[in-house]
Amino acid sequence: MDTEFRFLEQLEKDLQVAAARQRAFEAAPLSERRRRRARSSSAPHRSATWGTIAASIAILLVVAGAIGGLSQVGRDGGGALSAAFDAAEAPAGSPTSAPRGGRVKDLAGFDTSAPGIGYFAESQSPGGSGPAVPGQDLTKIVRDGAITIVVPVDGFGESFDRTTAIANDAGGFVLSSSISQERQGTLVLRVPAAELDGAVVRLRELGRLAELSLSGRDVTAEYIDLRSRLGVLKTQRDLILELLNEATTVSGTLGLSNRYTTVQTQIERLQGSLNVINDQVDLATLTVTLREDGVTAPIENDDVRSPSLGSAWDRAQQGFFSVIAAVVVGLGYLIPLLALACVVLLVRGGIMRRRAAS
Amino acid sequence: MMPSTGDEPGAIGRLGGRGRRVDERTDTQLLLASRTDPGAFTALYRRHAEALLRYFARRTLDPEAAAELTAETFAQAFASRATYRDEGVDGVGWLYGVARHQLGRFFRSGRVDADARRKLGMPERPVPPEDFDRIEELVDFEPIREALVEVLAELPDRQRDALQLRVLEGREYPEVARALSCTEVNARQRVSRGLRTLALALQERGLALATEAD
Repeated sequence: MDTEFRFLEQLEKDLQVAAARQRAFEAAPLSERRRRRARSSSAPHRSATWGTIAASIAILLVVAGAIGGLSQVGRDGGGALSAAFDAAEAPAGSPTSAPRGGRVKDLAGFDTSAPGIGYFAESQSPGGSGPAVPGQDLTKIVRDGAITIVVPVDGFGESFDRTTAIANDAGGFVLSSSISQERQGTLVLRVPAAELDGAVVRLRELGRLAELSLSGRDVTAEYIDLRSRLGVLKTQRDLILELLNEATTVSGTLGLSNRYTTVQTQIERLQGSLNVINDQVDLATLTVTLREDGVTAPIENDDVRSPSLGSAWDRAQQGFFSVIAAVVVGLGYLIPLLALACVVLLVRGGIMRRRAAS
Repeated sequence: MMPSTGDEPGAIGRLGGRGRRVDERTDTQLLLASRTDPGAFTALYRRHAEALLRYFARRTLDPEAAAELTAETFAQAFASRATYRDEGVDGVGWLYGVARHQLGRFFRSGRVDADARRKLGMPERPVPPEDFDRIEELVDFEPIREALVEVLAELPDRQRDALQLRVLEGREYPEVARALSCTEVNARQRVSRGLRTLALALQERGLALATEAD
């Protein structure tokens, strides 16, 4: 090339080399061409392409997670509110749904005006074969529950007193109570099990129901087992006493005496356990949280007070699946949008190509 | 500058030097022939390389960017020559279409692509020092001197000083290097970067370079 520019001369040589390479490539057999083509997509270029793809996927997942997370937050908030609203608005005896977080989530058919009948009463029936008969000797159910009531502004003090009165009227008592800033507080009530449902109905009249959970734990089997063992031990004790009366040697008396002490200790321990069960069965435990309207619910975080590896692992699992769920939800939002964007880009590309051709 | 159609053989560039036989085919014919005979593309290159370098130099003001854009444009044209159709746009028009595309990308990103050269296995070569001055001579700064002074104030100190000495005062590179207390290579780099920044700034301000009229 006849030019003053060395750069252009060099460029011409480079182009000639590229042309020669192309000629050689075209002259090569098909298999060789494929091999070279595969090789020509150089590693840095490949890695750059893969890097771009990986980055795009990562961004897509992050965006999907964010969208999914936001949508879940919105749904949870709305769900809790609507559930609370439903629970508060539903008339007594009508089917309603418990708010999220309650241990008894399905209160369908729960008739608070008829204690002992409905879901809870049915759960008392071993095997669920029919309603339990209240007062049946061997049926032992430990009932407890938690209720959160949002009371009107400046109505906390009055509601607190009325809660105490409700416990007393039901034949129970306030086991413990705590108040925070005179606008919210918690009372732990012990009321006779048969009066629990009536107490809940009266508590609901204090304000707007925010949360309610009731549960029953069947301890009949444990109770019967304890009673049987107690019976056996008492028989043993009586037998030992008889033998002790008939004992004639010092060593025999001492041995039987020791044996008697051991059995008697076991009897007292079992009796104590039976007393505890009877107490729990007789008196239900109801945790009542009163909160003035507008006061934010306290965050219960037992893990902070007593951290443990087990709870940390549980929380990690929950977090893991929450993130996955959020990403899946977000992808549900994004995929139709991405498909639409692809269609738009394809149409745009077609128009551009047509314009370029024209 | 609207390039010549080049459909008249030998219309651009000094061809036939060093005893080489003049290729009398038109640009369109060369481009079409290069599909099956890559060597025909070399003839097209010889015909238009210098003009294209001038085209880029007058628009980028930067010798380095102009040289790179020339290389990338020819590489891109060579790589996609099979897509050329003789449907109203002649060969040189198509070539300058590729050039305009590259120039647009340069003004948008501030850097010259090297994708086509990489694809063809062509090395990215630095501009030889002696070419620097020659490429700069292709640029006529006179019509844009006023705009230059205005934009110059916005440049970083080192680039501004280099441009002041080289472009406005017209000093040679050895002298610029002495004034800036740096090597000649560094002085060229500063001028090059300054010119590139300048061209981009002018482009952003919508100031059409006077050389566009060429």
